[in-house]
Amino acid sequence: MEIAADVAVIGGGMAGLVAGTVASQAGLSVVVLSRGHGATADCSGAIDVIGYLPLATTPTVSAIEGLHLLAALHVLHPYSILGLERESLVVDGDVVVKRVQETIEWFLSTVAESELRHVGSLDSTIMACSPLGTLKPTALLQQTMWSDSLMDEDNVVMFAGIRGYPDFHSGMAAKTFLEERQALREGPRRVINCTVDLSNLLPVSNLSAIELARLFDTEEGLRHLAESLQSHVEGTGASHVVLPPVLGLEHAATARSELESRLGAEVIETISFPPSIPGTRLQAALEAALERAGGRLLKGHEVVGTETSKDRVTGIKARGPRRSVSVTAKSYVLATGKFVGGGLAGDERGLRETVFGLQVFDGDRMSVTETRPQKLTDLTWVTERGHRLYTCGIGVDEHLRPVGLDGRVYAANLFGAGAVLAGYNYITEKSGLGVAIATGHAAAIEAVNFATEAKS
Amino acid sequence: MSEEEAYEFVKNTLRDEGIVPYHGQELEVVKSVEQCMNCGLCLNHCPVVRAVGVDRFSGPRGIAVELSRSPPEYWSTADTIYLCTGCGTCREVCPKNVDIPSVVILMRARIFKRRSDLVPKSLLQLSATLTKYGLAFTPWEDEEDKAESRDARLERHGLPHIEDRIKPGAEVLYYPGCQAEERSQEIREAAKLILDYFGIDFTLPTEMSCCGLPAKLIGDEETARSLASRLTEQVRSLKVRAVITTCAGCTSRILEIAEEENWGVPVYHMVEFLAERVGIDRLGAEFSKGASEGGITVTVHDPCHLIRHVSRLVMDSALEILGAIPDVELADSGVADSCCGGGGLVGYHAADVSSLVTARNIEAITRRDPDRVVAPCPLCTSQIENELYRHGSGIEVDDLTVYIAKHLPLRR
Amino acid sequence: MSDYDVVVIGGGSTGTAVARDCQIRGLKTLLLERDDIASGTVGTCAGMISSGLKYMNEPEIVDMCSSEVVHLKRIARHIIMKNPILTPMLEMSDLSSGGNFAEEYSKRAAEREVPPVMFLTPEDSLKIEPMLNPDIIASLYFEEYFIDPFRLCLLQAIDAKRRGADIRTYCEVTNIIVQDGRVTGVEFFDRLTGRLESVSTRIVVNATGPWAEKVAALAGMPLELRLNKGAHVILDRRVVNVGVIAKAVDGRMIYLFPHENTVVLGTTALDTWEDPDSVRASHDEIEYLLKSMEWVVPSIREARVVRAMEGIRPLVADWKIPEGDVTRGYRIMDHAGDGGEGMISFTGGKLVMCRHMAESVTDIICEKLGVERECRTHLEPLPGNEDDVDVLALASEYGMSAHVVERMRARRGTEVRAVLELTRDRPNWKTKICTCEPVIEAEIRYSIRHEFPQTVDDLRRRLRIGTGPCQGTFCTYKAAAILAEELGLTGQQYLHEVLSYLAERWKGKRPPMRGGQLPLEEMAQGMYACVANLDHTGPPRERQPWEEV
Repeated sequence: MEIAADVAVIGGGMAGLVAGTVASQAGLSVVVLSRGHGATADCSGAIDVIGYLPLATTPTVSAIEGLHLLAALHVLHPYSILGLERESLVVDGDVVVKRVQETIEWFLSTVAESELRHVGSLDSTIMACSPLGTLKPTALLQQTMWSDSLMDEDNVVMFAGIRGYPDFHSGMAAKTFLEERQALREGPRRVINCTVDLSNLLPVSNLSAIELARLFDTEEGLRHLAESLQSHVEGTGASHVVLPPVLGLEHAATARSELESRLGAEVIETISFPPSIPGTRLQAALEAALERAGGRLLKGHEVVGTETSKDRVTGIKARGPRRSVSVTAKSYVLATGKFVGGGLAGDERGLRETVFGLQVFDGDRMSVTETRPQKLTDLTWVTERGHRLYTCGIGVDEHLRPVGLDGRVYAANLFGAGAVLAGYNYITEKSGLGVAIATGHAAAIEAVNFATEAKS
Repeated sequence: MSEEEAYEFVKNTLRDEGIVPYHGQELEVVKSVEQCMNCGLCLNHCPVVRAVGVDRFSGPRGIAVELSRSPPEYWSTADTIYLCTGCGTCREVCPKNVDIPSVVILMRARIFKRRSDLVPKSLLQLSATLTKYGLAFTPWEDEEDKAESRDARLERHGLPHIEDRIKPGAEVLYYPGCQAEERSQEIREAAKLILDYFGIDFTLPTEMSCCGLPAKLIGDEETARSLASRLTEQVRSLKVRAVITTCAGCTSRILEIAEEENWGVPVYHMVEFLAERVGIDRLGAEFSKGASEGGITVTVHDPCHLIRHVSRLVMDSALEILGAIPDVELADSGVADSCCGGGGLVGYHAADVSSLVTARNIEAITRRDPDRVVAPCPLCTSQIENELYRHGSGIEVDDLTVYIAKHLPLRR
Repeated sequence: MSDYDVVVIGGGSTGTAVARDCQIRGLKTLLLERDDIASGTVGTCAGMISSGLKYMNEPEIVDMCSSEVVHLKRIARHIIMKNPILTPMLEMSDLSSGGNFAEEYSKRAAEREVPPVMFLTPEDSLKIEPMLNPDIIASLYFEEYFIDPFRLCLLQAIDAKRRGADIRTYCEVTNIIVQDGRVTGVEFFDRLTGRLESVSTRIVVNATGPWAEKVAALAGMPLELRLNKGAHVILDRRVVNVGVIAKAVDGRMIYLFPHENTVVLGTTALDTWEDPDSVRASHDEIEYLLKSMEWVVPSIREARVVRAMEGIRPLVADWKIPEGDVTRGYRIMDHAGDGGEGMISFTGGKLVMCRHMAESVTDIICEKLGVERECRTHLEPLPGNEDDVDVLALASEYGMSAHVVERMRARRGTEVRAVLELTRDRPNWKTKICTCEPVIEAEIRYSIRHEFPQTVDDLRRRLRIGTGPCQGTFCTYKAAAILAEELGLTGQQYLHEVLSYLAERWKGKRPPMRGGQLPLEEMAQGMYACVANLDHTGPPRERQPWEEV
């Protein structure tokens, strides 16, 4: 079987789907090859742009401030690469900010068309509440996860768990949240918790997030939730209810308004651990966007072979369960993710990039193809510094083209985007999806330019 | 003690300890399952979890990360492991493509071998049928009654009958599969008509025996192996250069056999073969000559055994063929690739579960309200049609091969 | 009148066995353990209760081992499993040290309900274990028993407790008081309350394994140990069906043993002077083990390495001979001759001998105290091991998954019913918290209420949470929340528990990091550091000894 397209994207996560959609919107024929879901489908619901500078102990005041600082101090960061002036190592911070702003705006309006809306902006870092009750800095949140007034002093914030659902312990989350607020001498002053019972409608044990989300997508389910919460809210005078991130797969936003009007209190979801409902919402919204733009998503196909000739990628081979397909395109985007997505792998001999066998670097552009993973980690499990392992990936030039150890571009028509890139640590920086959006968008533009020139 | 005596002693211990060693392909499956990182993405998409919840069916995550870790304990998974429909949605969304459907088969095989008392009774009965008749359905006793049923079905679909054709040395073997052979005979007839119409040099098997997929799903490896041998014998003795089938399950199973037994002969589903050999243009031209139904909305169902066990691209061919039929308007139900619930033999012993799985398709189809539903698989076709009927809907479901035949200008 | 007849220092396999034996014989006993039961050497072994096959040069030891296996089978039926073992040979010389080991082993085989040693053809060997190198020329076949070492220690401690002993964990002995040439008491620091306490006693048993020298010194008693460290690599799930023994890189014999739902590859042996609390597996040891096994199981490197653990053997101090030649029998030191009447230490020994060692020690104690009671530890079943368990019937009765009940049976035998009873009033406690093992909420709560865990790591020893392929990634925050709720911890303490357990898991995950563990690790960091922001928030943690460079 054969497929021919203008642009072939390898990887169906945030970076890949952004790239595919942008290229499709530019009028080119696009195929996105996806082996399975990746980290995006399990993401928390937050869109991190730059929460902490590398090694910082306090969050950025705003993503814009963070981007300026990155441009000044970390020239190899993927964001900074977007502001590289031609053939130099000078990064223009204003260009970085402008490009990131544009791509984020594009992203927000694109997924909004799939009914997934976000709050937040690059002008002000906001704190999102995790399932453990801790707070993390981010730029944007799915709208069901944010309340402007959550931290107001006179609030009564009630964490609400669901009996039989183990992934959210409302009692400990409430305690942790309150203690952290008290340590900062900030509100809210009253934080309580409760547990609601849904055993009329669902099994009483082993409840999964997906079952709950589907239940709350129904009127009956939502009504029952509201009724169960009502007595707790009334009894305690709760002004805010914090739920686990299961408010619905398709109708979370309306579910939230429904609940708020019935309860007379604000309702938010925490951000999510895997298995993630917000991640599933995002993945679905992105896939829908690609389809709307006319792009094609080929699922269940892993790229197992590549052909290069001179300095061009001339074709890739993808394998489905029992059929293989040859894909030829004018330009290619590699958006295969890190270890979760499968773009990088490693064993005791070192790290490798799994599709093209590209050179793998760490965040300082040192080769790690012969460095065993253990050496790229710290003895301590979590620190502000993080592990060097997660800064590893492919190195790219200012056009996002992968380069080798000698700096030579691997192919003129191959572009990299997302977590497969080296030079940043999305875990400590809280920058994952922001980099994926910005570089996915940029890689698409580069791929489109190349393909259009190739046509003419 | 001699070495032979020693080995007998050893076999006893292995049996007592519940150890059935992995062999051959199974080692690959085990390696695949080792990649699981417990992320749970599969749970969000599993149709059985959607239908009955994780409490009843631990889901693919549970199978990978908990149930399949220690073979001596497989007997204790019997309350869960038979509820999987084998759709492969989990494998498709998994970041590592962990092969849950295959590990389910592996586990069922060990339960069948060591603790057949824990295998659902209806599956043991099916196994007996397979062993006795080499077919997944009890065959017609009387050839005349069978022909009568066939003719009634042909009449209902407005299709003529042409004689069976057994021709050693033909280019192509058309393999009907058990359901088309013994129950939904219109499918077998339609396939013959289509192949004849386009002048394809084909033969039927000299004896029709099951491809063995049900045997694998029961865990009856021995029967599966012997059925595979019988089919291999057919292919070799008939000296064909390609094999076509009209059933999705058969397609995936026969592809497996072809690889294991080194047939060196390609295997296609009918829609793939038609799209490639005959071509959409020619099909379109012939359809234009055929009877037109007037404007008709058609909803397609994608069989899991095609899209997830062969390739998503197979349905490209199906959609192209349908698109070439004049006056057919494709209507997206939104659930085309949602498992019909007919797989995994779940319907045999837990009909409530399989019906709950189909419920999603039924709900979306009735909402979309097409004139017809088509599916390139007899099992999906009958599952969806039966469930639509049970829900009081009159929407008809056609197997796609039959639907194609109905739109060709066949001599009546 | 002293507070206690016997104070046992050290809650490992022998310490808990001594406490049990003493208490059964009516001696008022206190067990003091610095950390948690079985947190020392016994927690780092492969769990084999050896029939003594290796020690054919010491026939009394082989005899003792064999009879101990029989005793353990009687008293601990649920926590014991049997593994067939193959020793495949690529050349005749692969069979280690000739001699009549087969004969010695086979002598007592019948009483252990195992066959005598046999030879198998290469074809039959490969049928049993398809992962073996197809070029093998034959294998030796025998069978050995394995035990869950944590449950063994815990059940011995609980049995002692039920009979009236005091079992105190997180109590570190700071002084052993010797007056006029006899032991009179013990001072200890209770790490949970932060208080210094002291008790009077007639006998002190030093059962502290690698720390025995330090503890003896607290009483001013001399004791010498030869400390020897060894690594094990844990592979997820049973990738081999039977145990495999192979000749290693340097001619030693190493093994690959299925253990519950994992496979354990071990072990190395290096003389060491490291602090026992700081040891972690090294890259050299991991590669040594994988390379050694590769000849016989060629695809071993494709299996998923989940962690590598390191432990220290407290060998008898025989020097100037290879460690492999040091006796694995035990030595008991009665310090009466050193001016410490009433203090007893011991060194050496193997897991299988712990009850026997305890019997010998308790015999000495009884003689000193003028007590005439016979040992019954080989006859009385451990708690939960009195009877067989019908897993399917219980699963049906309580509406539970049979696999959950089966895994629970392998930990607590007849006690399963008591745990499942809790779900009658609390059906939501049927929820699986650890998805890998699995472990349900009811069992976690039962353990917290009856088995005195203080940390999530303690829960791991009792329940195996966090020992599966995800190494605690998904269960830690949930199990810690339940623990925090039951113990009334603050939010900061809860986060501390989460981080401490994951740090402990990291100790073992980090050295062998490769392959399938990389995506898992990224996800774990993604959850706890990126989503929960625990790398920038949460309580400060003290560096653990193994986190020092």
